[in-house]
Amino acid sequence: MKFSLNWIREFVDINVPVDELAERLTLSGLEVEGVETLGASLSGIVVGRIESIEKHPDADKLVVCQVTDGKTRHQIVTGAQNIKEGDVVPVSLPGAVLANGMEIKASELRGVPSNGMLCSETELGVSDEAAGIWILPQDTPLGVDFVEYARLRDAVLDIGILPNRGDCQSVLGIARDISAIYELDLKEVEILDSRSGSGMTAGGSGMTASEKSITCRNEAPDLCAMYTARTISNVWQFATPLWMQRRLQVSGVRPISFIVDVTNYVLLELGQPLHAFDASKVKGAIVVRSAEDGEALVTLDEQERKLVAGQCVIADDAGAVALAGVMGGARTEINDHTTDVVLEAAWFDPVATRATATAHVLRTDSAVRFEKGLDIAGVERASNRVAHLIKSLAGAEVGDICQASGHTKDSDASSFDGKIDVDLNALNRLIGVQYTADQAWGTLRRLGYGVAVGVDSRSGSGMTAGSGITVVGSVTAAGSEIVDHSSEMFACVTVPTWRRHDVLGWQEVAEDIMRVVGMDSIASCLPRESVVQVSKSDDERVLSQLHSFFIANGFSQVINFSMVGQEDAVKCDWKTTDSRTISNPLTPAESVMRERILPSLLRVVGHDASRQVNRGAIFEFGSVFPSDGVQDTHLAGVVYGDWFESSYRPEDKLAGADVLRLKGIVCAALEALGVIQIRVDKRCDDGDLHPGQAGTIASLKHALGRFGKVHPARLKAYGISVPVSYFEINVSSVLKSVRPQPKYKAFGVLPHTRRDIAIVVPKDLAYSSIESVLYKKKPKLCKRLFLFDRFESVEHLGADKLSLAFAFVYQDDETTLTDEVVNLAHTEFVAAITAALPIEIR
Amino acid sequence: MISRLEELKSKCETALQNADTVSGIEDVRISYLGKKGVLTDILKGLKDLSNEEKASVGQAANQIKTQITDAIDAKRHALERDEMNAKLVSDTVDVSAPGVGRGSGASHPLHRMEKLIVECLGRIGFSTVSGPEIETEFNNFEALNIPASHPARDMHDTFYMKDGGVLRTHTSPVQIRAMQTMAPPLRILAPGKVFRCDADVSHSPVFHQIEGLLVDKHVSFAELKGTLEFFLRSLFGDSKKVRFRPSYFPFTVPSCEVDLECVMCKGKGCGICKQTGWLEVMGAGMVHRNVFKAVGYDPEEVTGFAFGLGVDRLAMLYYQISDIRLLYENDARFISQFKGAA
Ligand SMILES: [Zn+2]
Repeated sequence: MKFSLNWIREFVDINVPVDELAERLTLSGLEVEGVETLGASLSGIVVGRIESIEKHPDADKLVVCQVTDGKTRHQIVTGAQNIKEGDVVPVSLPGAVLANGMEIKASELRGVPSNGMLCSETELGVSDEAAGIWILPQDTPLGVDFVEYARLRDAVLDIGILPNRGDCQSVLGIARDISAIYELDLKEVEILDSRSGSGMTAGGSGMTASEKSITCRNEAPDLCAMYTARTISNVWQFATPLWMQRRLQVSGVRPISFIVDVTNYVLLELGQPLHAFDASKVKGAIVVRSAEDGEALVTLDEQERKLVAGQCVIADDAGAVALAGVMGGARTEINDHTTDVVLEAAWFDPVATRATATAHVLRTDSAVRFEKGLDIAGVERASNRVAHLIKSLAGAEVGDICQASGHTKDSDASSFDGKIDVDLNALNRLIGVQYTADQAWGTLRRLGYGVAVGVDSRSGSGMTAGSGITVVGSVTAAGSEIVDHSSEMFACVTVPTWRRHDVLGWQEVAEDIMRVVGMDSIASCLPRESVVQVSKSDDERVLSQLHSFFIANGFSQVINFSMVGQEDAVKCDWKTTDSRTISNPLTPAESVMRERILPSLLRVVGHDASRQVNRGAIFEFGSVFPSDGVQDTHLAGVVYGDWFESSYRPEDKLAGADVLRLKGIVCAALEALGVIQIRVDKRCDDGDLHPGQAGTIASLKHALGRFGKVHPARLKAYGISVPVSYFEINVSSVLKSVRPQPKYKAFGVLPHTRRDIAIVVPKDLAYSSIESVLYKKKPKLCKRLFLFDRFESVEHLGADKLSLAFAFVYQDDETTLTDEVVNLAHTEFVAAITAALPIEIR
Repeated sequence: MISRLEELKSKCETALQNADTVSGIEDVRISYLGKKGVLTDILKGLKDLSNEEKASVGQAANQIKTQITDAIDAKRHALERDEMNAKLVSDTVDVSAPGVGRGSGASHPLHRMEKLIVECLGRIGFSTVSGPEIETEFNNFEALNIPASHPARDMHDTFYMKDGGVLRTHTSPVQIRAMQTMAPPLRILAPGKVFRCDADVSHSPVFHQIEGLLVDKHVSFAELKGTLEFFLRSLFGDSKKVRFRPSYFPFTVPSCEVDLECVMCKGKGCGICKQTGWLEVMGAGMVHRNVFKAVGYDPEEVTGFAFGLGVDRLAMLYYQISDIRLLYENDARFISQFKGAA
């Protein structure tokens, strides 16, 4: 929000350099996002009247004006089109300086002397564009220093207002904080003393007092805690004074007409939204009520709004005239012919106003202010301020105020009387400082708090030290210390009405003191209490190791969004459910939570392929959201293109082996973590993978994941033309499968004996099922077995068979084995596996 | 007899000189020292000699045997060395050719940044916890003192699931879960993805946050200040200025924003810091009593501080990445730049 420094200075005598002020405000919670200095260079501009205009003898487009400043006549040549004799205009005489720093000199234009220049708004720094010379109101005094008169010299502070500081959405609010920061007095604004008239009323109904007065009634006390209305009459087409227009402009508000300008002025000044109805169009009494379902209202923006019950409206005998706190109605809109207005100042419920504004997509400035919570005690003052300005500027007649109150329903605020007990010792402990009583209580007082030192909210008075009869005190958080409520370090503070929606506890009071005193003065320190470790740091270590393993094996890490497109769900053939679908996605491509990481990785591969990167290995750790289960963390990776075969040496190019190479890496990664008894099975029944090159990975007790070649149909769906191998494992299952800690077991030192066999097996018999039989049948003496050769030959074995050669290592811990013993065990072993499997020994 | 031995010795030396292979040497050894070798025969004949002769000839014969044995061994070693050298010459590999393998991968800069942060705060006792990305409104909002009607919900442009769940807008709900399951004192970090449904050139709908929480008896704002100064200076340099500004968050009071002296212009003012010389990098504050109440902690017994930061923004400053979209495009040419340990 933009604030004129001149305007602020009407409330507080602040004279520090503007940059210093900006810095200080920023550090006290009013973040100054920009400072614009206006008219800093302007000088020598006076008000003059054009007495005559004559044609230039030698130039069609120029005219020669005689201009008086009340004392002296000046001849000025100009090319302006929009002037006529009698116009009052700003004039820059020789020696004057314009907003852009240009100095005016006496000159000749096509042979005619010109002693100055008539000015446009642009030249005076008021606006970026101007249609012509700035024509001033006729009553502008001639000869005055126009820069001073129109307040052209100013600094505009652009301040970001925090959501809890509705009170700072006004010049008064900013000035109040400045008064606290710099320890200056805050001045009051001039208002009409409404109490001097008659007809004050309160409660659910109003009453008329003077002839041109208005009656109002509050039938929605829950939605409107305070409603006031008054008539202001005989406001003939009065022109808004320049200074007021100027202030509106620098605050970013366009001047429109006198009444609107004054209400906007008071809105900016005091923060209270106001609305003016054309009094001649209001039928009968004003009623604040809840809308009826289906009731219609055409708002000022010419939109017909269908209302529902619970939305607060202002109505007259003929129906709704305004959407309370949000926007006025078209029927009672003021225009150029309006002479009498009904001025509304009210306090509408923040939550209800917000709901109404949201329902009608009308987040007006007024609605936003009501949402943030306004000062209920400032309602009447704002009305009186408007009345004062209109009366003093335009001589209008001001009617008595009619008031109809309700009650606030804010749960916190309703039970809150604004009184908070503050133990300054506890406050100092929370912040880690040593504020003195004077410093703390003084700051609060300047912010508008009432401070009763040595008193608490229950008793109204504290114990006098040493009286020994009643102990008024409380036990602190530490549980040991009695707080003396009669000490100067204890006070019952009364939160100012404009902060009661926000300041509800002593911590907020602490914040107010701290921000005004400044956070710089707090001496920082590291946490004092001893360190506690609460997490499963083992998991972290394991994950970090897994990460490093893949990096070391040449894989690069990617990080994708957790959501993919509905399209991806279709491509990857999974059903989306409501619990996994975003109801308000930004784009369809990011609208469902991924069930697995695969589609994210395929998107990356597709992206890379489109940028001529045709081989690589990537992995991702990330969340997945199975439609029927809890969200989990997976690790997935792909190798694409001929990454595995990418070598310049023919002997390293083992095309077609990549799925097993990937399996080797994944199993080594798991083994490195201490996952024991990794088991890989051949089957994997899903459409993501090549049916003949896919497998599942498991530990002894947990399914871990799957791997394989990605199905060509999937690759096609993602526009990928290179082969892709893939794995995806469930990280929590991996963590559960990690062996807690290796334990040493003595190993045999006696000589071992090796026996090899080659078996012929059907090609469709999975290796894993052969291996599991071998492990099951192997005699105790066989310590180790491994595959050392695999051989296919149509000529020797037939098309549907292959040969596997295994080595068995026999060893005993106690004695050196004799051939007889080994032979016996081996023969039995071979017989057992031959019986258990459809195989032949070669 | 002695002269015969001398003759034998010189003959053997000649034979050795003529032998130029290991097997040739072996032939020489066998013909002199083998079971039926010439010298062996002489030694066998010693038993027929007189005791006197036995002594003198025996000594000479043994001496010559030793000399011949040494000569044979020396010659064999020389030949073996020559053969090995010849083999080494023929067996060279141009080791300056590319190594076979696929080299090292790279870690995503967001991961690296997160790790740096977690390690840094780990040094003063913070440890990480994690939680789900789809959250309940209670954990994401209500428990954090943001009721349904609170205007602060507007600050969180929230993605809703069709069944009413929300994609967490910050990682604070992880802290709620931690407090619900663990008793104070606590010193935790919650890193992770967060979601906001606004996106433009400088915002991504998904980004990464780390939030920290410390709860104990008598925790003060001064300690919050000290912790964050330690943290930012550890990452960006000891001489960096750090500034605290009052702010507002529903879940902390007092609240503040933390500014770091601009890393690009060193505080002089530039485009990155919008000419202010400062970069807003963190939000923080003392945990609000209502948050403690929502998780069953007694605000009369404990106090605490919480802080949060955007990992993406910090990573962009740290690695001088100009465009946030690069972080989520996962372009191989981008990621591959992030190798190494730091
Ligand atoms: Zn900078």
